Amino acid sequence: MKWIYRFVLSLFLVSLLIPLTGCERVSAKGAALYYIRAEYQYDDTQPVIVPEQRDLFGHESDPAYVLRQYTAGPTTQGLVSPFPSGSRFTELEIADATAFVTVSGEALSLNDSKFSLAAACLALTLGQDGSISALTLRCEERSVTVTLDSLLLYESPFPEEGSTTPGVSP
Amino acid sequence: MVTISGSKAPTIRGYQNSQFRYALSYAVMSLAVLVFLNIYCSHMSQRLFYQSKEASMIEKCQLASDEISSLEVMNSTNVSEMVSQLESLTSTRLIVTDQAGIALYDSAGEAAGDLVLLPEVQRSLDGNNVFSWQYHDGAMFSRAAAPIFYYGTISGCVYMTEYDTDQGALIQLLQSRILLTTVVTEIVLILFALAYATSFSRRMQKIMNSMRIIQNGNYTHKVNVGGSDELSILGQEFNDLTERLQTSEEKRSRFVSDASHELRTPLASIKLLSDSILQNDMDPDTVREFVGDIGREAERLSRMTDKLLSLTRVSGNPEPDNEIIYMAPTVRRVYKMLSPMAKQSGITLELDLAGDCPILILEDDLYQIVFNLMENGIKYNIPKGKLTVSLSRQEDNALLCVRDTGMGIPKESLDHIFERFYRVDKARSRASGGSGLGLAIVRAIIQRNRGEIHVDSTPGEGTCFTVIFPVFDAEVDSE
Repeated sequence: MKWIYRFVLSLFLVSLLIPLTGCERVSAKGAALYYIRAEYQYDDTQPVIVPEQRDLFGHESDPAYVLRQYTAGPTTQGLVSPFPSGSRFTELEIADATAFVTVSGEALSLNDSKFSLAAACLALTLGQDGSISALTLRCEERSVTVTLDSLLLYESPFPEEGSTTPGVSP
Repeated sequence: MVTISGSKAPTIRGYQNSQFRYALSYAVMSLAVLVFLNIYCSHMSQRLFYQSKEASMIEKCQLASDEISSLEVMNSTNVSEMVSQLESLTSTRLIVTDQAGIALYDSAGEAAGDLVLLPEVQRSLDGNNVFSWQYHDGAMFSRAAAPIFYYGTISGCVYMTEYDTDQGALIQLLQSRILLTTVVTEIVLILFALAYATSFSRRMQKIMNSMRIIQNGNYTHKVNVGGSDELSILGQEFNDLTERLQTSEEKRSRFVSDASHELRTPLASIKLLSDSILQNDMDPDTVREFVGDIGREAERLSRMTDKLLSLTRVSGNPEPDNEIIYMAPTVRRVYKMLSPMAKQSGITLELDLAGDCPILILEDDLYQIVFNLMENGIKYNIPKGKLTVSLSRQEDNALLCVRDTGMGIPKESLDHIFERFYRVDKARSRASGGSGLGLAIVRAIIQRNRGEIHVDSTPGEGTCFTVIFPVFDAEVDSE
């Protein structure tokens, strides 16, 4: 009967190794895709850009895959895509930690502020793993460059402990 | 439920106590009103500050926007110079962006060149004036943004914040003062409610104790709750009721006493006569005479009990089913009935029925009234006297007058002649077969038929009874 106990113990120890296998990558938390809060026109208490957590099945580091998923739009109620309906990403290039993304002509209907806002959303989405620090969004002759460390997303209304003025959360 | 018994009022404690209930209701209602007023005042004060701040900050943003829009080219240098000239533009932070949302100027120096994605800036770049406001722990944080227009197109926006602890402290002070006032007012109201409820409860207890005293038979007791409110009216009503009870009780006692006395007299006579027949050896003629007397006394007893029954019937049935009748036929019937009696007494009967008119009454009731009055007029008249019955109309009233030429009624007896068993001349009344109930029955019937009776008498000359009934008007009364 001793061999039976040894067999069960071995099975138990082997089962402890399962989380270290490839299965763990599939059940990862995924990545955040940044969209616009639809209610920002009426509610000033929350930031305009908010993340939506999405399972990318191990492709979090693949910018092209991320962009394809981004085109599908948000699944969370209350979020909208910053790009007009029918927009497609036609080109993606990464050089010197800067992503160059070209979007189809539908994005020409956006005004300058909305175009910058869309670029900021893409920059935040692609820059999560630290390999991309800036993004240039192009649409025909139009382009805008956004750096991740130069975004002012939200201003805290009340000062931190010990301070007398409100704080800024870049 | 509280049962009133024993000599002392039961004490009600706890929530059942009306004192507690009044005080609690008053306190809860006043608290609700004060809380509402507190919230309303607090909200209104914040709203007033909000409106004032909004107008002020939007005006500042628009001023800066107008000045900056005059620039040919918007860059960080131009904008910085322009803003530095606007001395009146006091704020915690000022950011000026271009049409893409990139900060050209930041008074805090942190966001220059950054892409400003704040909600106010994004909305302002859509062409709106924006103001938002947050109040927390004695500080107000206000944000405003206004677009910069250059020849009709949006070329950027001005974003401004103010962190104001002075106005925040003012709001906090105002709110704390309102709260303090509310608490003090509520305490005063609760004390007042308790005092009022205690006073009210004490007065109620007085009335309850008085009820218990009356219940134990002391009808002379009076309650005095004081004041001039509904409770004092209740106390007065209670005293009136007690007085009526007392009067009623006295009348009842006197009636029982009088009735017993009146019934005992003929019974005593019957007993005396029957004892005489049994104990003495009498001749047949004397026995026949005594038996005849016994029969007459028995008849008197019978008449008296009939009249008592009649009086009880009249008093116990206050609303008869009346009929419209003329009085003259009834008077003639009574005249016919009493003529032999008048003739026997030597009394002349005269009728004057020309002024007859219709009234609403049961004929039996009218017959009883006329009969009793005429019978009295014959009984208490002088020999060869006269009894006159007349009918007349005076405006809307029908008058029946029965006037005799008898010995009259003394003034001091006039107030009592309608009482049961009251007799002006007891000896003569009994001798004439009177029961002392005739006029009491007359008055009860008249009252039951919404009529009146007046008596006018001069001793030695005669008495006149006047009965007044409203005339039945077919057009008015049938509606």
